[in-house]
Amino acid sequence: MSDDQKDVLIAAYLFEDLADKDFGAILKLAEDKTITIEGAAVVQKDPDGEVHVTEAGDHLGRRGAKLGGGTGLVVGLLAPPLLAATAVGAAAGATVGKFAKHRIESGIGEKLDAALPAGSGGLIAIYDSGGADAVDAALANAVRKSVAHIDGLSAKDLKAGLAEAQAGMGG
Amino acid sequence: MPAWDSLSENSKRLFAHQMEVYAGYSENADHHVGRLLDSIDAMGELENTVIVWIWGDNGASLEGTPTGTFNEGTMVNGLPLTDDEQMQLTLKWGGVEAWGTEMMYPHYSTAWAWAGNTPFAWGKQVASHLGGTRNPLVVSYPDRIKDPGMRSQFTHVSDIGPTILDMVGIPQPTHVDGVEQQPMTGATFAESLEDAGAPERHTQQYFENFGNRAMYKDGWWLAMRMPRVPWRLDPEMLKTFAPGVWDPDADPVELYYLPDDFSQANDLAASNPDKVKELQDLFWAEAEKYNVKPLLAGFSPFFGILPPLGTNTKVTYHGNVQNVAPGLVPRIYNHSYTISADLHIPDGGAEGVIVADGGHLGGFSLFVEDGKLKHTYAFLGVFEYRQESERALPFGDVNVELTFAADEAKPATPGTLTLFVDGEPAGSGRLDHTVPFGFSGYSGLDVGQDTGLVVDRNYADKAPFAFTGTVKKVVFDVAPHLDDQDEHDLHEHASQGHTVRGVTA
Repeated sequence: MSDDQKDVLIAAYLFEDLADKDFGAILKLAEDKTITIEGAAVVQKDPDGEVHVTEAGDHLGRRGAKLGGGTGLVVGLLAPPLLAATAVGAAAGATVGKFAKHRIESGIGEKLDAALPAGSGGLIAIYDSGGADAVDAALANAVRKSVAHIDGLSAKDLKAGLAEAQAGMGG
Repeated sequence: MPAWDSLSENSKRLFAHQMEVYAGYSENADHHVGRLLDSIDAMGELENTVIVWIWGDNGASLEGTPTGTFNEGTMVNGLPLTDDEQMQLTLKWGGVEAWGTEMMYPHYSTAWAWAGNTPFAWGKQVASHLGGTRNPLVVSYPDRIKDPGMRSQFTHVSDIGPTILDMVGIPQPTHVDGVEQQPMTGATFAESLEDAGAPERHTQQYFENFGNRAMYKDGWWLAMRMPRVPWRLDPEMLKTFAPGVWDPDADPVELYYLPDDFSQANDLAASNPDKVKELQDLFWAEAEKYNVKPLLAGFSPFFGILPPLGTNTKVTYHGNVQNVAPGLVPRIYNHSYTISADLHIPDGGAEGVIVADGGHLGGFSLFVEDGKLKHTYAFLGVFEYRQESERALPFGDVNVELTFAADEAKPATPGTLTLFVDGEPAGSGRLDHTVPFGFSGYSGLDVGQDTGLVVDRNYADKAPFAFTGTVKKVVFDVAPHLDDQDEHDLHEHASQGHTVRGVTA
């Protein structure tokens, strides 16, 4: 499968620490170069439906990476209104339109809303589609999983949009 | 029941939470009983008050199925769910934090019931064993009980009434409002409260619950358990207990001597065949005396013996009717039906519920929102089906109707639901699954609003979402287009559903 094909995984959990456990398993796969990831994040959807990022990892499998870099694409997909404004900063609002467009085209927004009921924890990861089986096997504790596909072009656009957002945040 | 070590991490956590919620309930009940006792104490009457505390009305319930369930209604309706499905549905209704709130109607797993009844075997429904019958009893009456402590005299729930009457010095009534009363079957144990060494008064007692039997006499307990697990109440299983198929005397028996064997751990049946026979015969004599026979009469709808078929298929509600109890709601299950309503919608429009039954874990609601006629069908919290009219309702006097055209007249039939406005089709959709037995054991039907827990959580913030126009009347027609055979078959199914409800109550 071409590396241009990316999968966006949304996994939901009954227990947040088990999301963190699976998150660690995904990062380990990336660190071992078994899969190639763009980034991963543990998120919490609060009772009001707002999504907060509680943990993030980058494309090298490093835990605790700050927003930006490899984790940015993951976080970018969650830009407002799905992601609480406080989690990404007001500057991200500048690119809301661009992200929203891609969310709609890929169905990610609907999948995220359906997969993560208010009050639940989840794991989001973007990786090359070739790693799908390994990722699926690593998610031992997910109660519900949903995968959306985005092509390379969309991913590129998303990255570009994200860079724009990050520039705004930096300023 | 699965071994703990065989469970996934998720299952272990969820199972643990099931018991935490039960423990929370126990704590809550204890707290509020404590408030009652404090109030009596504050009145200065605690010493002079008889308090009888019985923890439970049977053994812990095994009806939660091996997985435990977010909605007991799924078991009642015969809908099996896997571990994974239970967890997904738990997530859907708010996750583990919502287990024990009004968002769920949960029941812990059978394994917890088994653990909770330890050291006794079995549980609710299983009257053959102490796990299904023995509850802790505490009696407080400081003015009379001067030597508090453990009592070991055999007592039965039928002794409570005679004991209270005895303690407060009131004779058992022979007539109430001119009606002659049956004599109480229990015996007072008041003497044992004042004297720990008092003789046992209740020396023999039969037990029977949906075929599970026991006979107690002078310390001996004969257990006669039918080979059925409590969470299996489906027609296929129950066929094996039909008249002429099941021979109760062929069930295996166990014999215990309770004074030496509190937890029924030492089966003495093989070495005491005469005692077994004596107690078997005594059971049948007691069963005759106390109208237990015919055994399994409660399951008769599963054996082709039905109550009379109702003849009234049309029910009209006028005005603001609230909380019609579940057993009295027109049965819309397993066949086609129509529900129509005459409304008045003032200029400028109206919104709110026209008629609703049940809640989000099972029910339906016909309502008006954003000017449109809408219908939501909640399939036991597993699926929600929604339809709405394509156009806004007119103002003034309006007739709205929904018709459910069942694919077949059969349990849980799918079908097509169509909305009508003033006789014209206005929208439709499929109900891929329908509830076969009943939406809810507790939540009833309302006209003009949706009281209590609402059917569609989308309007929960507007609950009870009272209709802002006028609902003049609502008419249910629950038997359109049924032939005699279908009618009989569905009546049989409904009667079986009522039986299951009764067993699990």
